[in-house]
Amino acid sequence: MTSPNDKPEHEAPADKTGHEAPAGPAPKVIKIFPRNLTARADYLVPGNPVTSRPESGVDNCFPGLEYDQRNLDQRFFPGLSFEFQREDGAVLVDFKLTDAQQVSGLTRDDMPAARPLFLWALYGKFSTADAEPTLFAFHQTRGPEALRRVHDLLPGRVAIAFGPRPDFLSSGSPLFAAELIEKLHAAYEAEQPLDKFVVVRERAGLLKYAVFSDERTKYLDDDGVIDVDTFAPGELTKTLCAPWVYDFRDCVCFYWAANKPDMAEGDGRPNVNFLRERFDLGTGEAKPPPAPTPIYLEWREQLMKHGTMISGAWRDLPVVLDDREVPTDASEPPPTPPAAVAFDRLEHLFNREEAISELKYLATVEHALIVEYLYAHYSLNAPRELPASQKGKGAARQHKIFTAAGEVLRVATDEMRHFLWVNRLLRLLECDSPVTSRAKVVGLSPDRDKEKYEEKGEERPRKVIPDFKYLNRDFGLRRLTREVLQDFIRIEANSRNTGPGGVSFGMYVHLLASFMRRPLVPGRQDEAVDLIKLLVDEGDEHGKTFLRISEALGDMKEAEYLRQFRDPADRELTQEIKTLLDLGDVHYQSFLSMIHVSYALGPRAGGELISKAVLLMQELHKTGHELAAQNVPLRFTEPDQGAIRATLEAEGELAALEEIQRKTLESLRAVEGAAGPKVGRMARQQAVVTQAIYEDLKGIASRPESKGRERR
Amino acid sequence: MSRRLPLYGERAPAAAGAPDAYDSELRLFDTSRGAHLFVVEGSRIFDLDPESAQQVESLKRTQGDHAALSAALFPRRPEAPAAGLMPLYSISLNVAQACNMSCGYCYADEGKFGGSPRVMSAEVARASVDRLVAESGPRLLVGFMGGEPLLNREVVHEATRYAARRAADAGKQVSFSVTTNATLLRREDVELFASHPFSVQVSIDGARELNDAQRPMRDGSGSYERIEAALSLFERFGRPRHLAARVTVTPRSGELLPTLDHLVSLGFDEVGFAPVLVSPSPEYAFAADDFDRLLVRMEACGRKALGELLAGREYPFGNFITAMQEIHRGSHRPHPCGAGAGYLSANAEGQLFACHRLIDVPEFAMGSVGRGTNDEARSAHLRRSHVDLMEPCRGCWARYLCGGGCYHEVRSRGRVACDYIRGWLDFCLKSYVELTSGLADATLFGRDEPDALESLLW
Repeated sequence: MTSPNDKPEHEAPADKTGHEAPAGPAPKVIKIFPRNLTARADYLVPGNPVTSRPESGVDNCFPGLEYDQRNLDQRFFPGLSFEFQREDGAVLVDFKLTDAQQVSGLTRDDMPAARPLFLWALYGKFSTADAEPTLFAFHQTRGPEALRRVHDLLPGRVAIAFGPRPDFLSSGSPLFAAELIEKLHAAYEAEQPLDKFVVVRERAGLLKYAVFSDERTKYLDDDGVIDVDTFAPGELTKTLCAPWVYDFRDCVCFYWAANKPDMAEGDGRPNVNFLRERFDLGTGEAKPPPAPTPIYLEWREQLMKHGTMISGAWRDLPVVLDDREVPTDASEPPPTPPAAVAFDRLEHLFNREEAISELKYLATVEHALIVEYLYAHYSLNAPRELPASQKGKGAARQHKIFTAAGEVLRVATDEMRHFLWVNRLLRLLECDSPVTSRAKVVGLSPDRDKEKYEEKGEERPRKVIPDFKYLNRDFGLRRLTREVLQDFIRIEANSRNTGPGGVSFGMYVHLLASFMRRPLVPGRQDEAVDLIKLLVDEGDEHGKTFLRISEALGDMKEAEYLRQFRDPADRELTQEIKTLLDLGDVHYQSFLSMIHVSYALGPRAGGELISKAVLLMQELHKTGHELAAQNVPLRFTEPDQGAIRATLEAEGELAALEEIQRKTLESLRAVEGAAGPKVGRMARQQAVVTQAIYEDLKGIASRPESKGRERR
Repeated sequence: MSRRLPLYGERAPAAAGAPDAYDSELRLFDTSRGAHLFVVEGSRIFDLDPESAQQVESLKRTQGDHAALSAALFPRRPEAPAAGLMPLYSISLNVAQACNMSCGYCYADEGKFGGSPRVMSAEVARASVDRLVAESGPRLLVGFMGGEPLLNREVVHEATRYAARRAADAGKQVSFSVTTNATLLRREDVELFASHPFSVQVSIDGARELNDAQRPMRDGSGSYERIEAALSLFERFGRPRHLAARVTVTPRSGELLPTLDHLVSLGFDEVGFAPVLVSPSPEYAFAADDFDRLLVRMEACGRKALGELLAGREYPFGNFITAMQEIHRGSHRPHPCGAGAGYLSANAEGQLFACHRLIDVPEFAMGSVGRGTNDEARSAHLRRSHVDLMEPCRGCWARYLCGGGCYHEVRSRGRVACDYIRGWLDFCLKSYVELTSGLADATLFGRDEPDALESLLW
């Protein structure tokens, strides 16, 4: 940061206090800087605001973040002021002639309102490479076009010609142009004011044309500040745009994006024109919305006229939410929001036994959804990672599919978390072991459930909620067709609902009310309620995510975005693929076994274990993509948890981990043996990673405090 | 005049025969950033290039009327004229003129103010609140003082609740303050302080040994442990909006920086030092030499605070931070405090006095809560104590930052601390420059953005 003491010294202006120069060294430039608030308050800053410094300003003249740089160019010629924002040309609007310019005899009578003076020609240097000046003629040129030339003018000598009528070349003799050029050249070279500032008149005294030559205005003074003698205070900011005066029909810049959402650059999807003509001006009848068009001129044709807008039509424009117009008239009822849940009035709450029973079922449902969503993810025709450079027509398309696949994966990982949370809730309810089996029916109604279990003679008191619409939809491994996507939306949306159309996750709402209003887990109620709230909210989010995916995939054909899977049971598959399929199953099993081990270790160590185990999920994912690239889906064979549980009970956590580790490494070795070079490399890497992770896991499991289950 | 202290960057005093030995209107000072000028009128600070600094200096030598010179060089914009006596803002209630401790330096004579122990009745407390609500503007502050106010905790609680109700009814915003030794603090007090907008000042003089030496209980035992217990009560049951430590500094307090660091580490929102100038026991009062040492020690604390702030860290050294704020705002005031202006203090019977240290002093009587504040007494007091009428203040460059010194102290001992005050303010002016320049450098804010300072202080 500079201080006044750093600036170079040069000739000082007169001492501003009017005191006599004191004895002592002659004062240089006085630089006094006010430091605290009262010092600043008494310091009046002359001129344009400090924000209008060219070196700190963004060179942008539309809304003009600091100042409108076009206003600089208005005074590009000393003494004269031009207006460029006109269709008919650049016009001289004002002048305050310098002493030298007075000899021209130019007066205000020469520019009556009916006969303004137009800028005709510009003769100067525009590039430092120019040895000679260049001539630009503005014959019937729009003002902004002329401004572009003026703006590029370099400081230095410039000659201009101006006169009445914008179309100066079409009238008068053909030699007129030559005469003008000669005069410009002569004025440019001249030194005497009489030759530099020339006004040529008709016999009647009317101004025919004028040719002036001078140094282009210096916009900045020697200190690099806007010259206060050239620009009056406020002149540079007078044309700034402000949001509250923004014309939302005709302002053409896209700066205030919020005001013109339909003009903002989007995903190429043409939107309904929210500013369209809504009524036939002749008959007064409502007009149907026109077809969306990406062509700007067509879009402009659809706009309502200024008069209509100003006379009040803007008040009737509907509010746009989520890309949809919310209608304001009675004929179209607004969309019904989902029914709010009155938690304190919900009936049919669960008691502890019923809650456990329900949660045990819901755990199996979460498990089922994980698998369904993962399968759907691998069915999308997108690689695990996008290559760095993407070109060509297909690039945008591939990006969309990749994004959609990423979203599906995200939902699947969320469900993994939900799966763990439901088990955590079961632990809060003091269940001995977690639930890791997989539902065969999603949204199974307890009646049907009861039937099944009654057959086997088991007591399974899942509570029946009357009037609740159970989905009763079978679990299945399905590619993400449009139908399946709709199905997913249906499952996840309306998580908050309990009314008609509410689906299985509306069940969490009853559980939530139960935990809130009954002492199901004394002392840990907050924890439980928070978990269930999250489950409800995230379910809601998932519904929206699937909707977005559906929109993103848009009108793509299924053949384009889906893989064509081969049957994993096909005997003709290569050995490499078969070993990979086995590996996938082993990974799947280890994930579930890990949950059992973690549960046994208790909350603290268990939590740590699970977060490390998540790393193993990456390996499953790589395996899944390796197979998908060869159009083979993972089998997702539901593992038998009996064996692992037995090892756990009999020999403890460490032994269980060793068992899983052994199985995984064995499977990896099989892959390596059967695979080609690429997959073989992948298998070897996985083995190294797996080994390291299991060492960590065993370390956690063998800590003294981890032994045995925690009992409250 | 006592001798000047050698301060860093000290400019040579003007030649003998010059109009003032001290600058009374224009004071040049130097920092690592160059030369600066403190213009007393308006408390304005300017950076000067070397030539301007020289010019100012030579102008001062040649022009006798420095006030006119200052007005010519640095004209002020015309200000709106003052509107007359300002409205009452705060009354402190001496709810208990008695104390459970026997600190040697106490101005209140163990709370008794030279009389017998008295407590304020709830009735008088309510009347005080009523008086304040009646005469105040949109905001008011109720203070609880003593002695030890918690000796009369029923009235403290009652008055607080009453004031909250009355203020709400009147559509005004009330806040509270209490100065306590914290040895009697109970959970219900903590909860009261946390549930109303309270600023709590805890009197504590340092770490255990120092504190217990200067602030013993009546039976001679130490108070530090009780204060520790009080702090943990705050942790458990809720901190008030502002929890400050008030340190009374005596010549025996030793180095101040360790005390400051210790109290900052205890988690106070602010730690402020108050040197004892008036005390019944002579060994606690400062003599001239003691002031020299005090200044050096305070500067050490100030340098620590400056360093921390420049590093972007908070460091709640109250005296320093307040000084930075006042200098930044260019506080320019002809009185040392609000006593008799916006602030009055009520004794146990509801008689009003200019401040809590002037309780029962007849010349500073200013009405009663029952019959109202005495406007003539207040105006007269403010008129006669205007700093431009005081000696030697009228010739001192620091007069509008200092204001003339505490009325109570000046009355009892005269103006003995002027050199110390000037030294401290000089240090603060220089620190202000270093701080704002340093922050500007560090945060890439240009000179047009002193808000970096605002965000770092409170």
